[in-house]
Amino acid sequence: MRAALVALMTAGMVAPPSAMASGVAAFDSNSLARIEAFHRGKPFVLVMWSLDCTYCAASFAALAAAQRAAPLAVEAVATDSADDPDTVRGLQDKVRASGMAARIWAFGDAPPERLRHAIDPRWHGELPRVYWYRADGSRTATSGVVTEQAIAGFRRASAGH
Amino acid sequence: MSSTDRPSPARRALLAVLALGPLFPPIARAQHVHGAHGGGGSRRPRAPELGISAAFAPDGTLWVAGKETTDAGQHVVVRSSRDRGRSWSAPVRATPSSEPVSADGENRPKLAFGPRGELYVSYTKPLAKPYTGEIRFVRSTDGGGSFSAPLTVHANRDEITHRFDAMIVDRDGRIFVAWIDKRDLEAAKAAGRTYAGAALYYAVSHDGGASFRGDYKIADHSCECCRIALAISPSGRPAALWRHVFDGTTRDHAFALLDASGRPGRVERATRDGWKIDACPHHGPALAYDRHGVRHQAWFNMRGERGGVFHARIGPDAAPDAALATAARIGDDTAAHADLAIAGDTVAIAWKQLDGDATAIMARVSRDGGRTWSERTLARTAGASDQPRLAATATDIVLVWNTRADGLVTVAVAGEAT
Repeated sequence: MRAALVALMTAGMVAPPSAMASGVAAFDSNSLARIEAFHRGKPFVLVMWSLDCTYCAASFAALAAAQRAAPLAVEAVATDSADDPDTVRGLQDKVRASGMAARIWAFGDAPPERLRHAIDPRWHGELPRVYWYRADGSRTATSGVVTEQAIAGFRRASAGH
Repeated sequence: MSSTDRPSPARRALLAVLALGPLFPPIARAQHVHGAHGGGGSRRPRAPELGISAAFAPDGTLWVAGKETTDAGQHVVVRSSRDRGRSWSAPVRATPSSEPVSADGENRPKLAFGPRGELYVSYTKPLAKPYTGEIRFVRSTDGGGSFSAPLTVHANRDEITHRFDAMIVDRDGRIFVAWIDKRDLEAAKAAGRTYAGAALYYAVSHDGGASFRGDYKIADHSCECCRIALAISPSGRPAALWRHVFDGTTRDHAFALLDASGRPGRVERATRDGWKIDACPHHGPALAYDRHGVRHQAWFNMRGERGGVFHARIGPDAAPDAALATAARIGDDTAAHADLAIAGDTVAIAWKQLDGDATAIMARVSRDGGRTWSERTLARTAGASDQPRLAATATDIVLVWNTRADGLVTVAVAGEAT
């Protein structure tokens, strides 16, 4: 627990939002704006994932490795339903097991396709989907497994601003 | 070539009449009232999973298979309608004992019928480890009154992926069940080799579902997470269309004919969009043949930066690549999860699309085998919903769509009722 907290703080996080009593917050139509506001002026990585996503574990491992080298703020938004306590437990277990420090979200009540469209009309639900936010708030999107090279490229781009 | 029209007032009224309650209303209500789930008295009730299948029995009865979740466990349940979805029977449990059941859009219980009206149901039973499962099968020989104990269709019992089942009955009454299987991936991992994607396997029952034989491999390197489409080809052999991993990274589609004795069929490339990605698209194709032997396929893919749903018709003597080059884009940029059905010369494609604040099911209907089309909105809902399912008789096509807010929505797409 202490280790997890320290990891969160090193990752540039302050206290999680109050909605995250369970450690997993429901992601609704205004959540992206809140996440962006939370990180305003600082780079961060938004990872869309799910329990069923074969390529997400490798992506988390790459992000965790990068976090051990230097701070990297990660928001992990699962497309699974925040309604289901077993799912919520599974999401927490998975992130914990990966060693990646991240705030965890799961899709709330709105239809998943609507939440997806609000995040990015060009995203069709493939997972993982990653949004690389630079300090100036601009972002680029990639689909597919997150690699060490992609993270290094993002760090270089972030440093350029 | 196509036109869009809004539902007429009469059609809207029909939709309202046809939009029934939730798939399993009494249980859903009971959960809501008691607010009790998994022992947590103050927790909200779990939202029911919406994945269903729909099919017409030979006698014209329309059936759906879905999932029921109660505090006591999970079951596959079926409902039937003798009036094409205007009214539905109460849900009947197809699995007498509770066991886990997958019921999301890409991986939900399936329905098929035997030559004497036998009702067959296949489903994926998730196991304890993530991504693992078994393909299960039950049958009813008394019109859905009672069901056999579930059996597992594959011989391999490793706790690995056997998921995303698909089922079809051929003209001789043999039952084919295909699924996504990771035994070859696991073997490669154990040997320190890499292996792209998963594999496709199938089993066949020659005795009306009393037993299955097989673990026959269709292909190595399928996608891991997309539904498989099956249809009976003009030769009578089942055809499979699925998302495949070509050259280790490209998620296009592949096609093969299945053989009742398990002889391997030739795997052909069925799309050439070139989507290179190591990700789970959760987006499988649809397949049907018309009476002239033309293969119709609908699928989702990314073409460069732009994703979309496509439809192609591939004649019995056509070069598939030439046919693919003329594939038509269906719907707008939010179009997804198309289904296909054919009745006589009528071809219908239904898909999901965002429409203002609602989610809509759109349809394209062709009366000339897919040469010219008209387009219209079939239904809308405000909340979460399953993918659209088209069910066909020899003359009629109906949409069955399971929605959280409006329950089971049924709309006549083509035929006598339209």
